[in-house]
Amino acid sequence: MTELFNNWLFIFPIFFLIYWFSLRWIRVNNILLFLFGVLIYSWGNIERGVLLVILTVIDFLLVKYIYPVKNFRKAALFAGIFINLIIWLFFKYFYVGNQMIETFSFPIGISFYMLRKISYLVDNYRKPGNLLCDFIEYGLFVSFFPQILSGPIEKPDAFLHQIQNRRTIQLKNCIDAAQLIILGLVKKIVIADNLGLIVDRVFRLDYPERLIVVSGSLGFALEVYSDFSGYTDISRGISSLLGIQTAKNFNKPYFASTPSEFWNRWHITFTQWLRNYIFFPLRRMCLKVFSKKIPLISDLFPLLITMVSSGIWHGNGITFLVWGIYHGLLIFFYRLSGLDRSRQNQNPVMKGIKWAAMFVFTLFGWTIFRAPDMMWFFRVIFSNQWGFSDYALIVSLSIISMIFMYALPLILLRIVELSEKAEQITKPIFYATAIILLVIFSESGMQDFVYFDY
Amino acid sequence: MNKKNLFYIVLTFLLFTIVNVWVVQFYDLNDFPIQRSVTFDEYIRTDYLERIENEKPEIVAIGDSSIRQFNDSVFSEISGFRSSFFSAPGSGSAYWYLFIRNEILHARYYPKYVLVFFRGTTLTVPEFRVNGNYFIRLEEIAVPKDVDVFDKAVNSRKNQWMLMLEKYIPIFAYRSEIYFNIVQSFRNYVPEKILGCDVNSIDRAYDVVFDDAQINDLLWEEHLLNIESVLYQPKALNFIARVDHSFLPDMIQDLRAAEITPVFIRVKYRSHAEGEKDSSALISYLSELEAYIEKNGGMYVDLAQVEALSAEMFRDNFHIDEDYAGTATEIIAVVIRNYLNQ
Repeated sequence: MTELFNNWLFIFPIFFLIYWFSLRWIRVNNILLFLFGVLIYSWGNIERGVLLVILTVIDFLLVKYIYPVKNFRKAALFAGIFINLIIWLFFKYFYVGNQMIETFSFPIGISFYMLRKISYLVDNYRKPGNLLCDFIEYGLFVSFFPQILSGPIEKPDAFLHQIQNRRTIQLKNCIDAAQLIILGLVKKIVIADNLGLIVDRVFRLDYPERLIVVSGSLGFALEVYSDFSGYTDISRGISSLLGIQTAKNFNKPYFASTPSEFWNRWHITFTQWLRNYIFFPLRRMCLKVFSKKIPLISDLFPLLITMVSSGIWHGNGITFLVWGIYHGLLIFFYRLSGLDRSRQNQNPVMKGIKWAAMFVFTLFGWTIFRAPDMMWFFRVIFSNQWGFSDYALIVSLSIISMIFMYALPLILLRIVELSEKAEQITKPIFYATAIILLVIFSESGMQDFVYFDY
Repeated sequence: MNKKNLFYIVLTFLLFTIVNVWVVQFYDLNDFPIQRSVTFDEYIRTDYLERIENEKPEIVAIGDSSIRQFNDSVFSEISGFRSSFFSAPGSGSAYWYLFIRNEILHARYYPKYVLVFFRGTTLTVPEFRVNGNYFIRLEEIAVPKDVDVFDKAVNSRKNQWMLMLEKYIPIFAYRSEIYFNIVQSFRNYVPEKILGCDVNSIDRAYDVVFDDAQINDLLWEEHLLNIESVLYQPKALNFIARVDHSFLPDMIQDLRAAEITPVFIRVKYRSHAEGEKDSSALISYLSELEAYIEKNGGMYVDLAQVEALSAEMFRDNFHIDEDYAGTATEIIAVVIRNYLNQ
């Protein structure tokens, strides 16, 4: 690990220097980025890179040579989607525990790059000739190293447009990028990795009291947000250093008052993908088939399928599926009851109640998502104790106290954002504190202080 | 660079300096460069050594939690050798070597045999289980003169940049302590304020709620396998490349010099008992390990081959069930007696 770290410590600055010095040659820039992306991805596991390149070649050939043949266009689209999905499902469902396949190292990030590839296939089908690019450009879109492992799931047109033009990098971009990277590292190293230790402990208990589960779920809500949005911030920061602006993926999701709003703020690029490539086509189809005579079907069916797909994409256990259905039903009931309509001049108390209700629903969803299995979840809901009067209460309060501690950097960030004119002073203080926190917490997530007795 | 950016940098630097000065004051630092990453501290626990001197065992056995259930007296009776078992949960080869060096070889009485119970490639992965709280355990049986162990086990995990930062930046050198203090104070704050609990009752609450018996066996095993996966990486399985960087040669050499026979015993997993085979890379590693140990005057025993240790005797994949502790000890004692009498 140390050796690998040392290697990359030198390789990255060299790569960036060469990249910045070759900014005037767009093609050289793209080739460099593409090769570097494949190199990083294949490092130590060449078969991973080979699979990525093969799948990229297949899409490219389909779009370039089969799409123009009118009679085969649809077949080529379905073939492309089928190949991508089947490879993804294969690794997702048949990889773990299969000793034959496990010799082939798992293609990490396949869930992300598969979605990007499908959007390229579909967008090219929908708007022929709109996404003209050569193989290097398409390869770069798929293998763009800041995004390959955990997104954001960039739209092909937005990305291709940027890499087909000359990039400029200014000091301001670099400072913004540095801030994003620092923030991302704080979210990941200081918050998520440490909360993960606590949350894992809670969800490993056989019969936890409900209070413990509530505090564990609260911790998980913060962990999953910090982990994911932290990666996104780092990815956006690195992209920015490369002169490429990528999409924002999170927009204060826990401030949402309705499920629809939550999904517009949570993993935004993924939500947009689901909407564009699953929900809208399904809804159009349902409206065609059932017209508006059976509104329940044309409203509920596309929604449920979309959210179930979201659940399946997130993991391969039944809990993810149930989590998807839960969110689908939640959106549907909010719509049905009219609760998802935003009302101007709404009473602040009502607003607060709506927000609190949504937050509780979100937490409930995260409990399903993080539960080891559904039996465990049902045990917690139906038979376990609340634990108000014993050790569980002490531990729950202690966990909540630590969650608050880990949430502090995010609370401070919010204060900085709200400080308007004072931001000129509060912002540097925040980032200086963030650097200090990073130094202090640099090894903490790796410390097995919790699991000592083994 | 405009004024705003300059202000950013100056303020960051200023805050960073203030915190570092605070660390210097708080930890009363006198040396610069800081000597933290050089070796262990002075304290050493002596009860192990005293136990060896009092019990005068012919066999001293060391290992991690996998030998916790073994019964000294049953083992002594069956094997015919007076034995003392020292189980240190969460220990690895660095700990075992320090135990040999500072406890066994410092005792006024030497045993005939030292049994080292290990799993996978632990013997040639010196950096396994040395960070965080595992380090606290190492500190218990190490002294400043163990600088070679510190380098091999602890510093080998760090790159040159980290070592340099630890020397010159106080906050980086003391990051673990600062981290621990911050977490501890928040962990205790709310229960103290709301319920009036003291630290001991909070610790007790954690012990009760997260007691071993409350943890789901499957999830626990999954977690342990995850931690252990480092032992089965291709790099760890390359015996020839690893052996000279490990504590194995030191263990054998030091024990042989004191005319003690080292016996390295690979523990059995439940998965072995359930029929799971070792990978070809591990088989090749173990045969090289065996050849090396025997060539250098040690003995090698593989409990994974002992069929009498059946799957139902295990509590989880790694640990013997309390109910079968006696039976398992008897089986192992017979196997080891036969090896030692050969």
